[in-house]
Amino acid sequence: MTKVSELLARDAILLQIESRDKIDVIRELSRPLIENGTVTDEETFFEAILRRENLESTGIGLGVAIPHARTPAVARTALAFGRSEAGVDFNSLDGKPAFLVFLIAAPEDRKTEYIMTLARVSRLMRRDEARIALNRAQTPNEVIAVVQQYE
Amino acid sequence: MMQLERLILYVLPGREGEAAAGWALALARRLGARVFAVHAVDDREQTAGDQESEEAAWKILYEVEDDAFEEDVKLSLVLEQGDPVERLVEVVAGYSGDLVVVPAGAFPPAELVRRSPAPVVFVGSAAAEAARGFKEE
Repeated sequence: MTKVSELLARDAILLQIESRDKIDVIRELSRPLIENGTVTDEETFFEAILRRENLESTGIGLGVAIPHARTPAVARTALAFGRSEAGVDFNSLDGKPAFLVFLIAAPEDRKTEYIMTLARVSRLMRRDEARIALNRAQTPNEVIAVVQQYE
Repeated sequence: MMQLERLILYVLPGREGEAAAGWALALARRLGARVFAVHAVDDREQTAGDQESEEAAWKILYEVEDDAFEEDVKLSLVLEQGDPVERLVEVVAGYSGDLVVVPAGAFPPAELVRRSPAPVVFVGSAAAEAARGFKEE
């Protein structure tokens, strides 16, 4: 099983998300995945992501959100990570905004890898030390090192 | 008339767990209800396998979430830690659950039914037929 840190490319790490609205944040985080060829059909990908956001909260609480989609519009499983200073409302059950956002994209036929990646990121982000370290990371390499350390 | 708008589903792996999840999702779809899928990692005795237990718990929660997405059912995931019955009762109260759906054999029925602020339905694998009935109607 591929490690989370191996699915997270340096060019898909945004240390400062500019957008304030969750849909705009998802678009901002999707951009590197479109540019690096992970997402092959932008509109189909957004349709899947937005349908899921309408059905459920991808904010898992503790200041973390994990928007995700499994769709034929994705060529390989990959992650993007973004950090928001102001926080973004992802309708988390705890009512708090998300400051750390992982976007997960997976091909339609990679369900096991997709579920495992979601489970690993969720478990990782429930650890206080991991969230603190991600908030302090100064470079994309440091973000990847934090994920490697705690996964 | 009683409204069932919020179903609290206790999620477990295995046949009974799948049956309960299938039944709850089918019912929620029919009623237009939201499902709160809950699992509690029993960490009262700390072990080296706690990380694996939490990852396994997220895995079964996300499997139910994926099924809910396929069926157009609104769903929220809730992962708790501690005594499963105690946590489940707290979640039912905290999210104002109207009905609690639990896999057969998950808990001692009497204790949960006595403590739960909402009615409890225990669903076994034989009830998969009932879920199919919800979908076909």
